[in-house]
Amino acid sequence: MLKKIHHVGIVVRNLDEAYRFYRDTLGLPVHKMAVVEDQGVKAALLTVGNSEIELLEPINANGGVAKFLERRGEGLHHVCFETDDVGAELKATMAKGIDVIDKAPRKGLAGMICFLHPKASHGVLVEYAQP
Amino acid sequence: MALVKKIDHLAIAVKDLDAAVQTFTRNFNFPVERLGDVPQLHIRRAFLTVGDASLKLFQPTSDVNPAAKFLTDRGEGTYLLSLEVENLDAAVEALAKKGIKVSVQSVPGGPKLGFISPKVTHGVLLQLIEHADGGVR
Repeated sequence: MLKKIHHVGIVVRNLDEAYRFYRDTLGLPVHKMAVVEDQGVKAALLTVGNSEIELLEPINANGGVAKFLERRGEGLHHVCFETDDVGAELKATMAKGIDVIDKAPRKGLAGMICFLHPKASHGVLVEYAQP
Repeated sequence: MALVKKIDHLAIAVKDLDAAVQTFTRNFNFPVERLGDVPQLHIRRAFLTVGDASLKLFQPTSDVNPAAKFLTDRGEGTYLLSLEVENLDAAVEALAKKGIKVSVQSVPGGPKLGFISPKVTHGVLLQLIEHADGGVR
């Protein structure tokens, strides 16, 4: 079961500059920050109520986030739903014939995660996370 | 107190609301609420409840709605992030002190809304929303 919005992902050019608005102006506390090498990003989770805002800065030119930034500029990138069992959720999703990017959960900033293909959800890139 | 309480909703612009509601319901099993027309905003919309927040799927019904151009230029996808505030006037004043302009555009009879330019928010159309009933709905 998908319980809640775990986070909304926003692609930015520079994490430190984005902190000035999201952390300093809106006052959202930074909960976690890390470099996620296999996704080619430096990412931070900022707490907002029971959910978070994830800021993503590309660290190389090859990853999906870098390509998104190049093509569309900064902005909303994905939505992540929280589950207690990402493996079972992903299996159930694939059983419905929904296109996925990750066929097995992998480690991400939000815990064990997987991404679905945006064409399966009217252009919305959807992530599942088991924190 | 924090300026912002929580994520209220994430708005997703779609070309065909009925098809989108069907897809999201089938994919994710989120309950559908408030499906229908909002003529004053030139949209048809539905809210899908996800925990204490929602996804708002909406289809512009006229080119007057700015999302019509968004759909033509970029296609379907995430359009706007709405964050709930306790008191919009207080939030507008607090942000003004920090040099951030909020454009207040409330709908008569609806919640109080404020918008912050994507130039300030790193590309995100950001809405602040104050529910008249304190968020219980």
